[in-house]
Amino acid sequence: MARILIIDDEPGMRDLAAFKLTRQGHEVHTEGDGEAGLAAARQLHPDLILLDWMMPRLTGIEVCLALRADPEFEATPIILLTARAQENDLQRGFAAGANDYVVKPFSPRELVTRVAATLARSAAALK
Amino acid sequence: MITLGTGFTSWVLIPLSVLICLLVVLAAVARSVRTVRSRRRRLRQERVRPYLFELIDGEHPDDLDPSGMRALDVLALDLLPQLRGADRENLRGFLADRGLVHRARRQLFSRRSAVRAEAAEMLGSAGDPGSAPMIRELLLDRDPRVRICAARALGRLGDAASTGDLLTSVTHPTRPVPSGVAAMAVLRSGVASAPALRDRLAGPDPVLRALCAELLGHLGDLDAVPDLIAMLAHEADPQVVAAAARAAGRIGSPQASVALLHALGTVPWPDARAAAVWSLGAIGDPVAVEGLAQALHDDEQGVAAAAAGVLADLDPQRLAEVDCCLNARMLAAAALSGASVLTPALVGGSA
Repeated sequence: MARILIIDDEPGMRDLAAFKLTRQGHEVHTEGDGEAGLAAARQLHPDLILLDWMMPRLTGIEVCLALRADPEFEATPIILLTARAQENDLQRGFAAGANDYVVKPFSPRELVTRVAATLARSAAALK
Repeated sequence: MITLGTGFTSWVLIPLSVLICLLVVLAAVARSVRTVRSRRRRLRQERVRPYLFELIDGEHPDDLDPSGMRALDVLALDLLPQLRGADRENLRGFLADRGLVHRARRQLFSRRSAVRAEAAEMLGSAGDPGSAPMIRELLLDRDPRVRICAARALGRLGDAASTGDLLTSVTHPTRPVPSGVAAMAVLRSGVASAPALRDRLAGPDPVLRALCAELLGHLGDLDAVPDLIAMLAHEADPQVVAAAARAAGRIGSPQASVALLHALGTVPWPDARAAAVWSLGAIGDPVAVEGLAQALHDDEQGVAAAAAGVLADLDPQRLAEVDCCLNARMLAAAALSGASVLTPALVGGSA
């Protein structure tokens, strides 16, 4: 199973996602702001990062750009989890390097499915 | 006299000081009680949070005391609006089983406005579609806070049947709902609210016509394009024309290009022309290039600058023309401002 890092400043959402993914057998780590999340990513080297957009200190987009600028993380799958659902928001998210985009309000079951699909694609690309 | 004055001062000052001390102590006690209560509430919520997640997975908690169940109610209500799908339905079912929905429905008719507002918010969060007709009545409540809570609740319910009432509430003469709140509520209902919005594009009130056009644009409703095109050609209100132009751009259908170009060349209102330029850029139809090139010479600097930006994006080969035109305008503007600066100096020199 995969090591997943969730970076979200909203405890309810963060803990719910962590609960669902832990139940799937993943090893889940959580952080509450962008700066701590970036540090945790560099330390943990997760297989997938679930990233909120609007966060204190560093936004999800800034974290995403910082990770993509680092060669060690250029292939790490990143899923953005956000309430920003406008067309240009999606464009910005994908332009910053996100692999997938989950819009709030979200379905936790859908999130688990997307994580599984993204991990499978990432594993296939590495082979 | 001195003794009398001192005695009088003492009579006033001593009770006043005691009263102030008492108030300070009371405020400190109230504050610490609030802090302790909020810490307890937070701890209780942390304790029951795992039960909430199990609840989402369809497992009902059996071993929670009544205070724990109340904490679970609050957590469930907080989380519910952020969820979709089967997990949301599990939480909704739990809240209904707990009797919260039934109680809130009764409280919609409470004599206290704070209770009515809270009940509307609660029913909106609980996603109880059956309560929509009752909440709609609160759009005309005498208390503005209740009206706002009712509009927000209808938005959370995603009740497209409320679109007409929400729109009408914006222009109510004595009990209006703020247009931003009503607009957000309509948008949350999604494309299902589009037919009601289209029906009102031809209504008598220009504020509503403009709002409906903007909302249809945000919803990306392709079926509204013919109506928006007609508005661009025949509408007499500048705000409505600008709203129709923006909406056409947001929808992004090239069907509207010709009407937008016509509006750009004919309407006398700069805001509406600027909106037409923006929309032509958003649609990105090559047919707009010539019209945009003409708009470089628009009387309004803002419209010309916007046209330059869009034209440069649409047809990079015309960058030289854009630069040339903008430079000429800047030189003309500089000459005008220079003249106004120089004139007093010249006058002073001649004096």
